[in-house]
Amino acid sequence: MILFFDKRDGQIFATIDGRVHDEQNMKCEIDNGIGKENIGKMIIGWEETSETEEYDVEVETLEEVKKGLFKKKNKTVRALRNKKIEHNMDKFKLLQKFESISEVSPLNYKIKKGKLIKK
Amino acid sequence: MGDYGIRISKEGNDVKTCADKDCVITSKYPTLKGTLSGLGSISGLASGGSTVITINHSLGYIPFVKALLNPTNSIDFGNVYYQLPIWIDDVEDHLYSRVYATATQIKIYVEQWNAHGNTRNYNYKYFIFIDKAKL
Repeated sequence: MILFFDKRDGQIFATIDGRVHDEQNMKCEIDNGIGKENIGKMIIGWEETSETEEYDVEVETLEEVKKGLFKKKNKTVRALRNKKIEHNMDKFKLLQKFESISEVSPLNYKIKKGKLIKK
Repeated sequence: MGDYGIRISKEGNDVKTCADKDCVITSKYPTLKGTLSGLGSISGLASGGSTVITINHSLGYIPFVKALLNPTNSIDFGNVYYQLPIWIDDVEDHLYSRVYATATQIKIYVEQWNAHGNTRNYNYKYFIFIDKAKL
């Protein structure tokens, strides 16, 4: 989730949903008329970069034991994924509350010195 | 060659024979690819005043968008989400709001007037679908 807040009083005024934010998300800005210089941004979750990395993943394969007869076999293969940067993961539990259907809304929070404070 | 694609049926339906409505997904119809969504608030909008919220999406095309507005402190219009555009009037209250999109931004415009001169607060929810609006 990306939170946009008024730097002057910390009031969160808008959000972008999601846990993993790609470059498109990261470029997104919300302006409520208070001026760019007064708008702060906090990301909770992962920023997905265009850089890729290899990782091991276990897959189920079929191995032919004799003609027409196959056996399931687990195998580890290398796969590619986009590198992710973690942001404010200590606030992830609160993010889950924001995402839930409860009454906990980010609009009822302020950001002061990097902390989320309930109004 | 037109008879190919994918379909996933709902539980208890035979994917080979069930109706499209009994599918969770079918490639027979276009599907929405994802959304950029979020919420926001507008505080203290003066009577007779208006404001514009700008969301820079930078998609490079006009997307399909949807937005909802909730007047949180209006007794007359209730604490509910209205789908935009909306124009509601009664004797003492007026609310007009619309959402519009360009290839780089969506804008939510809100104006209000009331006979008591009260300021109004709003919450909004927006959805920018990562699909061209075919415009």
